[in-house]
Amino acid sequence: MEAEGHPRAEEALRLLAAAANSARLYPPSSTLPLEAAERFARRGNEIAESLGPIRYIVEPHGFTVSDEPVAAGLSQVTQFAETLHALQVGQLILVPGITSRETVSFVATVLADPLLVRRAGGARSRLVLVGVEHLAVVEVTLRASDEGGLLGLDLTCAPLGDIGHETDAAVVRWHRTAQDGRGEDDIATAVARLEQATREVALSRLAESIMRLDEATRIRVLAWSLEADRDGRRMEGMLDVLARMRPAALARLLTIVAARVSTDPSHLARAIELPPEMAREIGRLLAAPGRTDAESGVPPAIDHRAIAREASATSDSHGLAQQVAVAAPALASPKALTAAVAVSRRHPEVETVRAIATALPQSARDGAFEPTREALRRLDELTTDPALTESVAAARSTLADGRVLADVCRAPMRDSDAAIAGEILSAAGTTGAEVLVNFYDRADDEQRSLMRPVLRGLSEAVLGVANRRLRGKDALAAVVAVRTLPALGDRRAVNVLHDALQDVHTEVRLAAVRALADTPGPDARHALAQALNHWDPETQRLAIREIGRVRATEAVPAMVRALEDINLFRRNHYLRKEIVRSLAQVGAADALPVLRRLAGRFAIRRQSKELQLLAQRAILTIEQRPRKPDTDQEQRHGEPGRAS
Amino acid sequence: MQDSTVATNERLAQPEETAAEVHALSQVTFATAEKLALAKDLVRTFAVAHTNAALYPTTHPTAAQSIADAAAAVARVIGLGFPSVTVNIYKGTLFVENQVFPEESVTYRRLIEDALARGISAMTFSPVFGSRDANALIDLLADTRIHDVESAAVFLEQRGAAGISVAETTTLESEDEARGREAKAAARETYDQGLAAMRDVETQAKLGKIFDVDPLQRVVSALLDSLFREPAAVLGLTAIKDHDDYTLNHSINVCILALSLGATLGLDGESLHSLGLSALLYDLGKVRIPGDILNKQGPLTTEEWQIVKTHAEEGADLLKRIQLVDQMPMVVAYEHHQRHDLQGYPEPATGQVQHLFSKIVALCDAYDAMTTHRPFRREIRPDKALAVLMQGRGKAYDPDLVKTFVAILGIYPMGAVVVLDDYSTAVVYRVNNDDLLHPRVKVLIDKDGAWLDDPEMVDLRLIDPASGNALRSIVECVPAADAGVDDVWEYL
Repeated sequence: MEAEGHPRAEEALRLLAAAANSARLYPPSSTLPLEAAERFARRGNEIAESLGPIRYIVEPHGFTVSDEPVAAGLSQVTQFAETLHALQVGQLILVPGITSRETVSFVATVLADPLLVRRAGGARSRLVLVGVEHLAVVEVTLRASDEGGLLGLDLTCAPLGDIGHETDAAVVRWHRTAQDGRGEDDIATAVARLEQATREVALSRLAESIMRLDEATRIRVLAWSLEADRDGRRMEGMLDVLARMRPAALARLLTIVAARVSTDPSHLARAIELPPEMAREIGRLLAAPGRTDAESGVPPAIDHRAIAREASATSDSHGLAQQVAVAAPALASPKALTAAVAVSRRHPEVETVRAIATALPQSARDGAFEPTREALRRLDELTTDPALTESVAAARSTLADGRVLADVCRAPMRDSDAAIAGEILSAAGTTGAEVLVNFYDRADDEQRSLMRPVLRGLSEAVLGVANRRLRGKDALAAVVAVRTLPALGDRRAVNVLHDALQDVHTEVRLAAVRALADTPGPDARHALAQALNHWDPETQRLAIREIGRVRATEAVPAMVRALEDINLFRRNHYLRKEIVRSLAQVGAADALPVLRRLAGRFAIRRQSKELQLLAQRAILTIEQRPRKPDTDQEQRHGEPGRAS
Repeated sequence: MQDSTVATNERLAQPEETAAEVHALSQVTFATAEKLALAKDLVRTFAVAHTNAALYPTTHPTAAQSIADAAAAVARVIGLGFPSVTVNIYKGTLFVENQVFPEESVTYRRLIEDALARGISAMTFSPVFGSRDANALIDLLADTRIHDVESAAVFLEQRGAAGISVAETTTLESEDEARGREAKAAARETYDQGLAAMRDVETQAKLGKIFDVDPLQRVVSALLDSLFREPAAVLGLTAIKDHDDYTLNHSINVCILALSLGATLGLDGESLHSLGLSALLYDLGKVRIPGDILNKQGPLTTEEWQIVKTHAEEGADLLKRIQLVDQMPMVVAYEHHQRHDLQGYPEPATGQVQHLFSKIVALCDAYDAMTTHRPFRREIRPDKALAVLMQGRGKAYDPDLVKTFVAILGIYPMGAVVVLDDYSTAVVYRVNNDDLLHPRVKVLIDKDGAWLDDPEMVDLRLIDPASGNALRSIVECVPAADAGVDDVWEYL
């Protein structure tokens, strides 16, 4: 019995113990004992029908089923076990068909004086005498018998080896007698003598005993039991036993015997009356093998040692370790996205779009741009279905999250990835541009190089971001936007920067100056030169420095004018010195006349002397500098935004 | 749902630790050549010290040096990370921990015989073992007045040898049989719960209803718990083959194999849960394939084959809603036939590779399917099935994964029915990870074909001291049914 049957076996036992206890406690006039017996008969039958015959081993103080204790610790059951034990009962067997009357008789028998019961031939004989067929007990002592062979054995408890030996002898007897005329089937006779409750147990034990025989004998047992006597009868008792063998063992036996007599094993199997399930299993086992091993790809020769050597060898499983490292489900979104997109082609429905939506943001964050692009294209296709429009929009909106887009900006490793990242950012509209501006400002050179085309592609939106931030109160955000503008390569950025020069926040104005310096083109230079006249000296000063830094020759005339305008700078030597330094940096030959004038001027005051000295140095620098086109400057304009 | 997740997390509070535990269980004691050499050196140095003790007085430099060498060899092995190291002598064969040393069992016969003559069959060295302990042990082995292990223990105590203890072992491993039985019963209960849960899921899926994965998650958690406690009990469940309920049994078997493989690879608890759930559900798409095609006994037509191939995408479709934990079940359902070389189906996108979970499930699926009887073919013997997998390395299967799989299952996996060289028939009930060719078996049928009353347990690593060969070895593996064995699991 399987383990799951134990609770039900326990239930049946408890009910029977309760019936016995009830009979012990209440007078015969009470209806309670009968009610308890009826309860047991009803439920006991149900359980026996579902589990098949239940065999309990009776221990001195309890019961076991398949070596597992049942209802241990229940006083009623313990008492019942002690009662049976006193009757020398070793086994209690229940089979379907139990009646209330049988239960009452059973209880009466086991509650009788043990000595009297034993003197009357034992509990088992007594029960048979009173007509109890579906509740059986097997005494511990072997049944006394004056008969020899199988008929002299108690099939319910004799050692399997003994039963096997006598079974073989019974088959030999059948073989001999069948050849002479009418076969004598000792197995059928022995089993028929048993009360119904123990027949199944006996047949099962007979089947087990056959397995204890050597195979040659077993083969003979099967072969001879299939022989018919003159009346055409086979050894039905033995065939009943065979029907209780384990299917694989019987199938093997049938196969061997069939091979010896050159017949089909299924043909032999048909001679045995098998329960339907068993017949089906035997049929399966005896069926033709179907596809061969070779057809299943099994190699013709297997070198087990070589396989063991290879499997045991310490290998460089670096590849496997790498796979394990990235196997976490959290990292599998790109794969989920691919699967969901594929499914959407077969099943374009809301649930599929949701599956896409689940995987889409993480996939984008992980930098899985190909699957992400595929998904976006698929969403484009699906959006044409009115039933899906809403869910597609919801799926797309998953990418409009700032954190997702920030990761999208970070993830590209090559230009093609960056292009897809651009698509994602573009699809996210203003949010995409905002995130990109912030990212670009903090990016390293490599990232900028990858994302610059994306930034330029989103020029319109980025300009919008800059304008909006300049109108806002967050100076830092405005600075970030301003710093990004030179990379746009868009003339319209100059207008924005021009506006930024008038911002109330110093840091924004200074950022605008730097950005203008880094922005190529005459418009930017013009705007930068205009900043020389800025109302804010700090902005003015930075403009001068930036002109020098980027060698903006276009601004030289304006600086020369400023230097000559003594009135303007007379009180500001510092600015004049800055201009001189810038002119030196630019290397502008046009500025030499004014510089020479400054250098040759008579100076008394310390500040004037400093200016004079600076002018002299600037002249030297300009004169020593080889005159060549402003290639350096042009190159620098290609890499804007690095000024600090 | 959340409750169950919380419960699961509580049960597996430290998944890395538990995974490491399983990892350790599935590993060979001395996994690398260097470690193995240290273990061999331990045995060798003691044998040399034992021989020198018979040739030289204890004060002789050669004897003293050999004692010091033995102590140093013990220290080196303990330095590998063992809390203590035990040298076992089991049925005349030497083991260091669970690692068999067949050659040494013959070469150092005298050491073994003298230890057994003193009643000693297990010597455990602790980290404090030093030259003094080594000296005492060598003296003990040479003392012919001692015949039992108790006297041997007293001898060592009197000599102040605190770093060594001696014992008598009757079995190589002190396996608690009752605990084993309990674990087996518990594992079986989980298996049956898994079947019931899968049956429900299959029914719901067939009806086109959304199914609840909570019961399946509970099954995966329970299997993992059992796997961490008693790996053999869980792995043994894969020997259960139900031909009538093939699909359901197959799913659970694949789940168990996948969890074992995943745990050995060192996946964390969260990943193992995800892998387990994926392994249960990867073939769910088949509910949408007509039964007459799935169960067709003859070869499939091209059209039928195309229909069967859709089960991967159909499975992914059914599982797209299962996103309570992650989307791995959908991924694995979609990818499990794509193959390692990406020549399978559905056609993979450019640059796409099979996910590790999909590879694991594909491998376990192939193995369990091959070793199960199907309407169109008989089951393939386990050893042959593993050979097929080995042959498919780098093609259908990830090569490293196949090797790991074979290392877990052994050449003759648990449940394999084998014929031994004495013509008896046995079933493999434990794989020896240190010797894949020589598992532990239960002999069921004797050479004449008679079934034994009680199976005889034999460790096929044991060697014959005279010949140096294994006492008994496997001649061939046979299909269980051909040997007349029905329910192999019963014997595991």
